[in-house]
Amino acid sequence: MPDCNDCGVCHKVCPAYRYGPPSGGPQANPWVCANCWLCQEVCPRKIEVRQRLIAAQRRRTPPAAVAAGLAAIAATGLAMPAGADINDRRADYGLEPLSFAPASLLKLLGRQGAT
Amino acid sequence: MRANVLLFPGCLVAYRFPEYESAATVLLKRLGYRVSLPPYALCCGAMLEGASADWVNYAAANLAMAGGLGANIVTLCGGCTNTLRRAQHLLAAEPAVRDTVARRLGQARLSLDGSVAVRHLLEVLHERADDLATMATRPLAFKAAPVYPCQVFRPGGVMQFDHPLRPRELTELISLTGCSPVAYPQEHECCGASFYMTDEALALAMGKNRIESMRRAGAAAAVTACGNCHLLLDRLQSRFAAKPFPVLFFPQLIALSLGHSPAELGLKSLAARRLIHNAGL
Repeated sequence: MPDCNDCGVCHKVCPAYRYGPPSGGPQANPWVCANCWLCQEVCPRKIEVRQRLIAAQRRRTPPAAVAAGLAAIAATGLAMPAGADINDRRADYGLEPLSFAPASLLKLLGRQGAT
Repeated sequence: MRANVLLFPGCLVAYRFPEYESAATVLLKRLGYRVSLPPYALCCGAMLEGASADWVNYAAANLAMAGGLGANIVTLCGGCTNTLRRAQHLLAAEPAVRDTVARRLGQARLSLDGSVAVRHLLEVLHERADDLATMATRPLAFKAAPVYPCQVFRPGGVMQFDHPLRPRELTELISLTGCSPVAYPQEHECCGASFYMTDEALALAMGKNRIESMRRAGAAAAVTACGNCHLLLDRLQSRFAAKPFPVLFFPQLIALSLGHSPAELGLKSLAARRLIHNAGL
């Protein structure tokens, strides 16, 4: 596994550093990430930069908006406060209604590690 | 490409953008595909990945549901495309992960199916661009700026679609509608929508910057291919732009050129209606 030699290319392309405050960006908080994968794409040493960021995210408490999304997924399977209104809006566009996953499936999918 | 497609709305499109899914359905059906919904609406796993290793369970369940229908998955957002494709990659490369996930899914009578292809709608429509060009009987005549969904193209080694840094497919699809694609400085940059969940001010600053850049380049409209880009540039636009700028999903633009009505395609915003009026449609 190659290691970083601080060439700085990943920082140069990162939108958080290009458009955000110099003190910010994923180094200050790994959740401040555009999910654009540019850092990993341009790394001359082929380091999986974005994968490393994901590992760093797991060591931190997620931001409130992400935490709300996670709670919604656990409750309904979707990262939004999904209710019957979704299918009302779909009907307006001639779309079939969505079925929500049963609680037993969500419980199964939300478990980590070996069965 | 299988004739059966499972059109995967994902959380955001299911919740906020039925017009995107509807326009995509119209085009897929015109091209002869049989379009179905997932048996259960389930997150692709993208939002879970930063919090937990169980993201792959969600991705795998979606792949298994498509396999059960004998369908390929067609996605509408960059994040879903990226997550499902990387999950396939992980499940193929890591037998221990695959076995654990397969056992878990087995308890819900779902089985992993390695033959399911996951493709963004861009890829499917681009492959059928010649057919769409033949069907495009109502040429549009305005300048349109592409907003590329970056996660569809990167990481390039896994996604294997178009160029990972300078994709062209959306520009080519805009051309077949009669619109002139407009190049602009941020064309191949991320829109910044993901920051909305972690650094709202940064997301809005990037949205403002992009809309202004597209306007300066002479575009009359933006064309998106992802619910997240659309959320920032369209739904949140009033928070950073003084004057409304029309933002269309790319299947809405293509379906317009195929003769479908703006009302059928859900083009309801004032800016979109003004664009369509000015284009003489």
